[in-house]
Amino acid sequence: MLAQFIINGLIMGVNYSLLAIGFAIVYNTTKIFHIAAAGLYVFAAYMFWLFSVPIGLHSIIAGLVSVILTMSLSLLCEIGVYRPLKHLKATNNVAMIASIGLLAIIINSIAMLFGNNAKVIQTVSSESLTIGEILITSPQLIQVSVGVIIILLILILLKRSGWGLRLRALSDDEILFKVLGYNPDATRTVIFLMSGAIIAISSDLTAYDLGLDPQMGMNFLVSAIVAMIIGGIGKTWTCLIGGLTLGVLQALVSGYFSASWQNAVSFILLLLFLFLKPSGIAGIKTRTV
Amino acid sequence: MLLQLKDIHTSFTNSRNETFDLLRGVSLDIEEGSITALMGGNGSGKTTLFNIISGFHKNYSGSVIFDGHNLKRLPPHAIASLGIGRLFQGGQLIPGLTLLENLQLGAPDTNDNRPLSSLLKPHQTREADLQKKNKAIESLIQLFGEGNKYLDKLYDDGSSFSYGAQRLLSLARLMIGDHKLLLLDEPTSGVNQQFFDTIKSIITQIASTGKTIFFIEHNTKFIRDIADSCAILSDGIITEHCPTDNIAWDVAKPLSYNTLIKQLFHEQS
Ligand SMILES: Nc1ncnc2c1ncn2[C@@H]1O[C@H](COP(=O)(O)OP(=O)(O)O)[C@@H](O)[C@H]1O
Ligand SMILES: [Mg+2]
Repeated sequence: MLAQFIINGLIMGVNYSLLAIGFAIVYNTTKIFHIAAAGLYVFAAYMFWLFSVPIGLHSIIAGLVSVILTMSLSLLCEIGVYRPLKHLKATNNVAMIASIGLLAIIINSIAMLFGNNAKVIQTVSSESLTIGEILITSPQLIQVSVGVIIILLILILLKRSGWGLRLRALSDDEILFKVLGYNPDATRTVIFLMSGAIIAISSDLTAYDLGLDPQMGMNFLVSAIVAMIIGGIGKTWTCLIGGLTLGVLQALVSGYFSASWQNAVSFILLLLFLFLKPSGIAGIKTRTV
Repeated sequence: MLLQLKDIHTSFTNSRNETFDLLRGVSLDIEEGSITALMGGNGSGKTTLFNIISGFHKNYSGSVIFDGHNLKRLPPHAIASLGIGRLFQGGQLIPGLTLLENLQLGAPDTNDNRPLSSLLKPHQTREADLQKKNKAIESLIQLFGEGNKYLDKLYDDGSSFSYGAQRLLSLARLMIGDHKLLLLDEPTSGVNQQFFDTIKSIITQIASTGKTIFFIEHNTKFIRDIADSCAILSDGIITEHCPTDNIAWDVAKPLSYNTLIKQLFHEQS
């Protein structure tokens, strides 16, 4: 049983890590607490459902459409709301409140258009793989393999590409970034497109396995944010450590104890880290000119 | 004239809601190819003046004309792209990036700022990145010699270098860029003698490539050795601006900084 719980936890953890990275690249570079990410998550799942179930496209095509639409909506949040606020010199708290507003608009529009009922994408009972005692369903297998590939791809891109370098430079020191002649707005455009794509992939993978409803976003985002914090704020690869830790702990607690304690685990872990290892949270340095 | 400051005024409001005029009509011309020192007491507004030129402080009246452009409405990154480089007073290298990455960022972007061009032209982007790396390594060799210790530390984190080394290396980063004007805020403050001499030689080398240098400095020996002219900021205006040769530097070494400035220029006039 233990091995099964750990495997389930790791698979969930990969998914948390992915969403955490989508949130973290925005948070680290712009310092916006991008709650609307939960709205993008729900939007992506519904677009995936819309194009694969009623419209009947192949899951891969529907997934791609969902990713592209979510990237556009993510950029729209930036260009329509965050960037004008920044140019008006609004504080990060104001941006966060605007983000909560965006979340409400997105979720309510989706509930209005598609209803509040849960939906499923994968209807046939899925095949599964058994290795000894451990059972892995095929949606889980897709989740973990696509998730791991995408995470590695992002980490390599951040480490190796010119844009990755800019993104890291912007998150570590915005003032030096500007004084070296780089346009923060152009970099933010790339960041929101990337973040939208990552959030959509994470969402599509979950929706394919577990189905979707308009309230799914916040639960997952809270776990992802906890993953980001316990992994260590300010970097991207730390999301993977935080995500896997959280996924496994949640799986163990809900396996041996009760599933209703799953969210409590997130909060207890969060509090423990805030008290015992605050360095992870204070990892952001700012410069004064 | 490469840089013209015309009648710059700015004021700040402190925590007790009192407004004070920090700059009250600063006017100064910086000639192309010159090395100009800016002196002034602590809190006289030197750094603020640099912040105005580089676009971080926008709340001012008067005009800043650089190479024919009025900088008033331009954001900091656009001003930097016009060719103004800057060394800050505080920390210098970006922590979390390696030395090589830090230097690479200083190389001018041949590949412009358009977000998607790197995705659309991956080959050209990779070429450009490689060129930047080579340029970074060349500049380290040029400044510190073949086989210098920094070449073994290219992949060390920016924050692992000592304060003095960070200042040297960020001067190297400025050298890689194709700036016309460099604003250096107290380049030698807080560094030891060995770094002091290296910094002096680096600045001289940078100046010999034709770049114009405008720097804030307290050390009169340093100013005498490298600057062509020296300007004094006092009570919110430029009270003096004259060639360093005209200044009677020998007077009164042990005096306080403010008295020293008064003395020096009194003797000269
Ligand atoms: N952003 C700011 N808000 C309020 N006061 C400021 C600000 N920046 C600078 N000052 C004030 O302006 C004065 C001059 O600062 P600065 O330009 O850093 O002086 P210097 O570089 O000549 O030592 C200081 O007294 C400082 O308190
Ligand atoms: Mg200063």
